[in-house]
Amino acid sequence: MSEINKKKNELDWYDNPTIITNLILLMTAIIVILSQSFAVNNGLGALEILSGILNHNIGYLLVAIYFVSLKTKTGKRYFDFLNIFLIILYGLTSITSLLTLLQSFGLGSLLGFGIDIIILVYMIHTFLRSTRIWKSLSLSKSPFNEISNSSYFYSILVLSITLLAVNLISTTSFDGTLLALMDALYTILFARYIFLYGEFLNSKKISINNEGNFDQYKEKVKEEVTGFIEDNKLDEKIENMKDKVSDFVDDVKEKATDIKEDIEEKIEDAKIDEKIDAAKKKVSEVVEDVKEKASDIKEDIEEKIEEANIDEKIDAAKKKVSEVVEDVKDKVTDKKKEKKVKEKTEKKFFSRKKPVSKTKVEKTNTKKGSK
Amino acid sequence: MNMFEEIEKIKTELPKAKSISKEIKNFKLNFYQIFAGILYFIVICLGIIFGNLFPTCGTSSALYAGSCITTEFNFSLMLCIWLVGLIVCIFIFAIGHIINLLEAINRKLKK
Repeated sequence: MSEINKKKNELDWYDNPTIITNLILLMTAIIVILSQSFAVNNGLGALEILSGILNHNIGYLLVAIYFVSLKTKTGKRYFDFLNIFLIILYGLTSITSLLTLLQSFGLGSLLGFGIDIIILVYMIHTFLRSTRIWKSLSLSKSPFNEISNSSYFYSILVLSITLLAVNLISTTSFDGTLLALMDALYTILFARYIFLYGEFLNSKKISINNEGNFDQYKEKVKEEVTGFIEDNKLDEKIENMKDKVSDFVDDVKEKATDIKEDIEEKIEDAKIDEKIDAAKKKVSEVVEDVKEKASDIKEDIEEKIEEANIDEKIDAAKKKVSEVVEDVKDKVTDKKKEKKVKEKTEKKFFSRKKPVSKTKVEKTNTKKGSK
Repeated sequence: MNMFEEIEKIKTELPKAKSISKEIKNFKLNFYQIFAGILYFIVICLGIIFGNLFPTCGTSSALYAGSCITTEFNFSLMLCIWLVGLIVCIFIFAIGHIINLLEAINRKLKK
């Protein structure tokens, strides 16, 4: 571990992404401050500063936002999102450089457009490699993916140096020369940053590496693994381990068979099967008894239901009898009344001393009849 | 620790393209929101046109020279127009969103 840490600490400044990002930020600050001070020094007006200098610096300022946010935790967390922001920014820059090319065609504008386009393609094929977009857009099949990481970097390096040369030839002032030099250095540093990220991804995943063939890496890995096995005598160790493991497995098997036999013996001793049969018989007898009782109860219930019907009939008969009795009672009361009327008439008739005229008797009879 | 290794441990992955498109499809736009979208498209075109109409002095080496030989597309002007347009369009879009919410509340109250 200590050797690895030493190796990490021994990294050259151009292989250390932290130093590169710091240098980019430093270069951005120098460019912005120098351009402003030169503008004031050369007596440029407010409109010229706003249009020319601001236009020159706005790209650097926007990229500076990206690198400053990378210094924070939230920026590191949303690294992929920031990369997309950077890609969009460089996409816009490349469109504007195309429009510049159309406005004033020249070697400088052509080289600027070329650098912007290459940086855009380089960023897309490096920053998006470890994201979901790489798979969804199937960027691995892109022809630009065949170009190696170092080829991209050196092409940008060569183009930016050529652009610097063109600018140096065309410039007439010291300020312009210095600013052009700074611009070229900034572009190279930015390309270096992308290169380092690409190298980091290559070290992480061999299969995605643009350099060399996957089969070559496979063979290399095989050779290294076989060498490691031979050096450490891993074959002998593995054989010893195998023997130990097989012995252990045999012991476990023997123990398992012994335990099985013991259990079978115990089952026989306990005569669990016979007990189970007896229990089954008992259970079947109980079930039959229950069935018989249930049938008896059913019969009783049916009988009771029938009895309930008889009661109804008796009630009906009772009602009829009571009706008949009432009729008889009515008739008896009617007869009694008639008898009483007759007895009253006879009593009245025999209680009179004087003979009653026929007309009176008839009158009384008619009155009673009418009643 | 290498800066990229540190980033690799912390960083969150980008959302899936399908999930983003689904969310966009589910989003129903009203008149104001559609208007804001169209307006922003016009603003983008305007920014490009204005950036081309008012070019700046060309390469950095010629910034302090007396006469500009090459002219450059005015990127800063375009970005300014885009930024102002974005703020205006977001304002209109937000009004549309508020109207959407009020309509939804009204529908719920009627029920």
